[in-house]
Amino acid sequence: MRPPILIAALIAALPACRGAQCIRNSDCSAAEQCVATTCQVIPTDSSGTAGSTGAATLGEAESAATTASSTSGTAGVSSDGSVTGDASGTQTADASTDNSDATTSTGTAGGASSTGSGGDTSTDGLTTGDFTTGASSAGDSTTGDVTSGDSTSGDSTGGDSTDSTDSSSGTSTGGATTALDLTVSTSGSTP
Amino acid sequence: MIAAALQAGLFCAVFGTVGQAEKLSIGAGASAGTGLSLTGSGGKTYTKRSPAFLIGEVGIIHPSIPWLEFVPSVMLELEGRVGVALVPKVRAYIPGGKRVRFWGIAAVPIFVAPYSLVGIQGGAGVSLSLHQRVALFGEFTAGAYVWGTDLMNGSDHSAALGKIDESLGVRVYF
Repeated sequence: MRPPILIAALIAALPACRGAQCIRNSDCSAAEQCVATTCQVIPTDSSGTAGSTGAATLGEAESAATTASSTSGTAGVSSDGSVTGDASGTQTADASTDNSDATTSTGTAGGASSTGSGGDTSTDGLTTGDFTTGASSAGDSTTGDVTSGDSTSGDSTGGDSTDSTDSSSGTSTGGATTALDLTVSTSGSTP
Repeated sequence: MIAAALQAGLFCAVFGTVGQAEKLSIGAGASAGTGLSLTGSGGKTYTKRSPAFLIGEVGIIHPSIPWLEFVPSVMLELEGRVGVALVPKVRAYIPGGKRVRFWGIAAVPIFVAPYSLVGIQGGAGVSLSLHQRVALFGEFTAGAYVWGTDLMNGSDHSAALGKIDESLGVRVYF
């Protein structure tokens, strides 16, 4: 192929490419990293406090995620707030919707499973008081927990990865991430 | 450190046998440029203009291999967060041409700050002599970066980075 044709092909192909906010981490500020062409705040406390219920370690969250994904594959938390270990297959889509709720309203992590099987009970058991905004944004389920655990386990797909990102930024939680938060938060404070 | 050792090692390997009667041809150059950066995520290709950069270099030619030039260089990316890279490269000159010369380039850019980034680079260049010791030159390079902490986190893994850059500069021969 002649060089002019190559150049013309390149020029023709460029408009098909999309502009991006960032394509390298160095395109972002020091406190951010580039994730899927978007600068996102680097989570600084992956073992932070879950709302007012106390600290939750990364290991705890991870363990909970493992439990949830390894059991029946449906829903997550019982009405009394204890982990029943059933992160549902439908949790993904539902969680996405409910993430918004968690973010914009009271941050009720229970919303994540409001329509998921089994999660309904968790909704009831984990509303408002237990899952304050702090619980949702505590970042307990940040970093790679969701990715390495639930997302890859097959119980939670697609949206969960996104949700984990949201979680890492501290703005919302969702999917498996929410399940993690639920686990962590409810372990100590569910009435 | 690795980049510096690599440059030093390559230099010694190529020029370690220079005799006293032989004289290396040494030049220095400075250039500036920018280009296009590309990466992929989620099955889509994203582009962004490469940060403008400055390159400072020293060119060394062994008298027994006059067509090959070893060029340790340092690159600074000036836009956004300042990036620093060591770029050992070689130029292979195409025979012929006094006033205008063409060459091919192979390089291993190694970014060391603020993040690490390693890749390979190839391209071509041309120079126009303005004086016996001064020349303008331009280079067109394409590179691929597949390792380093500077790579974006894609949808499921770190995304490789491609760069198509061009630069213009001045060279002085001693």
